[in-house]
Amino acid sequence: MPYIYRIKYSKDGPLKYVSHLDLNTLFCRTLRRAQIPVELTQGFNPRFKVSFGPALPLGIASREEVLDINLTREMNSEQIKDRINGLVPKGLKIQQVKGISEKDANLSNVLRYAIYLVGLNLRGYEQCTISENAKECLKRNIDNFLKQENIMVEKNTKKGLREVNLRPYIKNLEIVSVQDDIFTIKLTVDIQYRGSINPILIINEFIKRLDTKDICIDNITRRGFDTNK
Amino acid sequence: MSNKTSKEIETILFKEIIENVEKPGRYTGKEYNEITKTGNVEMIKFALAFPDLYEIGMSYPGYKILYDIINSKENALAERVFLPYRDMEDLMFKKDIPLFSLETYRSLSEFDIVGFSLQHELCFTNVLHMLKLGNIELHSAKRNEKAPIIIAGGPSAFNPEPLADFIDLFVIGDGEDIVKEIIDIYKTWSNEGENRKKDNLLERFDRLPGVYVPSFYKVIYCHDGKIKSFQKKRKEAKNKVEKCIKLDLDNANFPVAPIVPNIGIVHDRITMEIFRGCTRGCRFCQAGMIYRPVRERSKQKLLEIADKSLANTGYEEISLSSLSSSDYSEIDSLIEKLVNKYCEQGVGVSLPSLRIDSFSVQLARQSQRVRKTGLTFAPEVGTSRMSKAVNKNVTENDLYQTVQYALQEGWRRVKLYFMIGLPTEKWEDIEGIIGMIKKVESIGKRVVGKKFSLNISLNAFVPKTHTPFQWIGQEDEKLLLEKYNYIAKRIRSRNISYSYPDTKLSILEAVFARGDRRLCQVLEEAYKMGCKFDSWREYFDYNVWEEAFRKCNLDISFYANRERKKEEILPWDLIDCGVSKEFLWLEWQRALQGISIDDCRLTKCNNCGLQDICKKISEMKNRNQGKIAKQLI
Repeated sequence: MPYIYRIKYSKDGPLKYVSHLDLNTLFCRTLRRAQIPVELTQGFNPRFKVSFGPALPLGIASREEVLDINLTREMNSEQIKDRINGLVPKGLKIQQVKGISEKDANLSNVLRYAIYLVGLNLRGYEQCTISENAKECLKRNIDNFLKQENIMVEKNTKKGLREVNLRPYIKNLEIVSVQDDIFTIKLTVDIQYRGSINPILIINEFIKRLDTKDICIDNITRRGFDTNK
Repeated sequence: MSNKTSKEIETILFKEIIENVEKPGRYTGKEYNEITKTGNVEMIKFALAFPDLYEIGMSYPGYKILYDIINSKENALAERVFLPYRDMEDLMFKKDIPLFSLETYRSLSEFDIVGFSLQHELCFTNVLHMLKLGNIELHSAKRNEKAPIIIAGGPSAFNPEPLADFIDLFVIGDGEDIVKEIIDIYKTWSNEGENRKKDNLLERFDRLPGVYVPSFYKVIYCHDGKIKSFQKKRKEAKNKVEKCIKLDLDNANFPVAPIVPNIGIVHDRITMEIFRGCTRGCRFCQAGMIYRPVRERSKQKLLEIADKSLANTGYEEISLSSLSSSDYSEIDSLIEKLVNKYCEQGVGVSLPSLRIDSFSVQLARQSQRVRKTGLTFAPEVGTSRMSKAVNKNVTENDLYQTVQYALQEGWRRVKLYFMIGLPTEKWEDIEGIIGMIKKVESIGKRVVGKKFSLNISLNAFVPKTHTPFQWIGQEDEKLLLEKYNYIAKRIRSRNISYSYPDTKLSILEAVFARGDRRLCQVLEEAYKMGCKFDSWREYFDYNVWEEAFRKCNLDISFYANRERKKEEILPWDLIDCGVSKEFLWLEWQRALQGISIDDCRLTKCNNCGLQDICKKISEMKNRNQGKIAKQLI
C-alpha cells in the first residue's frame, strides 16, 4: 500500500515568478533537502513520484496550492510539514500535510474550480456613476457580464492570435469586500473545461467592458480550489 | 541613467517591471542559499559581475567559489550581477534604473569593487555594456576614487590587452587566495581619509603576485603594427606577471552550499571540481596550458564535498568536473563510492569529459547505471598524422573500438567533435575526418541498426595565447567554409546530423584572443554602434565590427590570419602562465614535424616550465601521506 500525502502550500514573493515546470524541480530539491523518503519512478530516468495540481500563471501568488507525494514509508504529517518548512526557499510555505488513501489521490478528479481573489482599484469610478453607488454599479456590471452567452477575446498563443470564448471558463464572479478604493472580487474558474485559462485575461475583459477606464487590477491571488460538486 | 537607492530600485523592479519581462526569475534573486549580508560592520562591497545572462553565469563553478570565499570574510560581502536580456534592458532604460545586484538590488556603481569573470573573448562588449548600464565610466583613467575599482579574471584574462583601457587590474590564475588580499588592501586604503589616491591603491595591488595593472605600462608599436616594446610607467612595475597557483586544493575553499536557482540554468547540478589542470598537452588547447600543473582533490575530500553539497542543496545530480575526468587517479573508486551511496536516492553522477578508451566508457556505464543518453567524444582530427601534430594522441582504432564498446553497452547516440583549420591540415586530413565519420556510422549501423544516431560537431580552430599554436595565422575564411561544406556534403545520411559555427564569429574570436591594446578602441567603437552579446547568433553583426575596424584604421587579418615570427613581441608576453615560451615554441616545431610527446604524468617530465611547482606539489603530497601514515600507526 502506498503512503500518499497531500501537501497544501502557499507560493508568494519571488516564487510568484517561477514557472510550473521550474517549481516542480525546486519543490523536489526541497523535498530532498528535507530528506523526505519520496518514492522513485521506475525507468531510465528515476524521478520523485509527485503530482502537482493545476499550474499557477506566472506572476500570481497563491494561498493554497496542492501537491500529492508518494512516500516509501509512513511518516507523521506534522513532522513532514515541519521538516520541509525548515528548508524552503523564500516564498514557499507548507500549510498542511495530510495522509490520503489511494482512491482519493487523483488530483484532477478532486479539483474542479480555481478561485481567485482580485483587488480592483476603483479610484475615480464614482464620478461615472451618478445614480447609484460604486458597489451597486459594479454588481450590475458583473451581472451583465455573466449574462453573456459568449465572451469572445483574442488570445496570444504559440500558434499566433486565436479567438477564445471565455464564458464557459467562468463559473462565478462576485464582490466579496470593499475597502477604501479597493474592491475585492472573487472569480471562480472552471479548470476542467478545455485546459487552463489565465484569470487576468478574464478580469481584463471584464474591465474593458465597463463604462470607465479608471479601473485597474491592484492585486490578484489564487485562494485555492473547490472540489467537484 | 540616474542613480537610485536599493529601495527605489526594488520598488520599481517589482511594481513596474517584473511582470512584463520574459523569465522574471532571472532578476529577483532570493534563491535558496543566497547570502545577503547585513550588519553594522563597514564591509567592502564586492560585485561579482558576469558578462552574460543569469542562466549562464550561474553555471560557472569559479563564480560560485568566489561568492563563497568573499562572503565568508568578515569584512566583505559579495553580490551577483548579471546582464539583463533585451526586454529587461529596454524596461530598465524606460524606468530609469541602473544595473543592480540580485541580493540587495544595489546599483553597480555603489560597490567598492566590481570583479568581472572573463570566460571567453566574445563577452568583451558585454563588459562595457555592464559598466554602461551600471553608470560607471568605461575608461579606467576617467574613474576617480569614488568609482568602484574594476577587476577582471578568468581564462580570457591571460591576454588582458584588448580590455586594458577599461579594467583597473587583472588577476591572473587561481583567484582563491588573492581575492582576500585584494579586499584587505582595499579595506586599509578606504580607511585612509579623504585624500587617498586611486594610483596609490593600484600600486599596492601591483605588489601582489598575479596582479597586472595595465595603466602602469605604455605599449610602443612599430610602423607595421607589431609591438616594439612595453614601457613601464613606474619602475616598480613588474617585468613579468606570474599567475597565482593554488597548490593544495584540499585546503582551498569549495562551496558546499551553492545557490539553488529558482529557474532552470544551463548547468543545473552540483559541479564538483575533482582536479585542476591537465597534462595531456593537446597543442590547440589553452585550458590545458594555463591551468597547469595538475592538482587533485583527495578522494576523501571529494566525498565530503559531495555529501555536504547534496544535503545543502537537494540537487539530483552531481558532475565530476575537470578537463579530463577519467584521468583522475582514483576515478573508478570515486565513482563507485558515489554511485553506491547516492544511486538509491535517485541522485545521478555524471562525467562531462570522456577520454576515448573503453576504460572511460566503463566509467560512464558505472556512473549512469540506468540512464543511457548520448556519449560524446572529441577525436578532433581525422588522421594519425594530424593526431600527432596536435598531440591529441588518439588513434583511429581507439575511436572505433571505444564506439563499438559503448554501443554494445547499450548507448544509441554518439556525438563527435572535430576541429577544422588546424595547422598543417591538408585535404587528405579532411578526407580522414569524413572516413572516420563513415566508419563510425557503419559500426553504429552494424551494432545498433536503424536507431543509431551520430551527431557531428565541426568547429573552426581558433589560435589561442599561451599555446604552441599562438604564433600561427587562423585559416582563411573561404577555405574554412569550403571544408565545412565539403564535409557536410559527403556525410549526408539519415543517421547523421551535423553542425558548424558561424565562421565570422570564429574570426572575431581569433582577433580578440590574440589582440593588443589598440583593440580597446575597436571594442568601444563597436559597442557604441550596438554590438553586444556577440556570442549569440541573433545579436552578432559582423558588418558592424568591420566598420569599427575601418574607423580605427586596424586590419582584422593582421590579428586573425597573420603568422607571427619567433622573435616578435607578443601582446601577452608580460603574462607568465607558468609554461615557458621556449617550451611552447619547441612544441610548435614538433607539431610541424609531426612529433608527439607523452603525458608527463605517465612517463617523464617534459620540462614545460612548471618543474619547480610540480616538485613542491609532490613534496607536499609526500608530507601529507606521511602524516596520514603516522596517524594510522
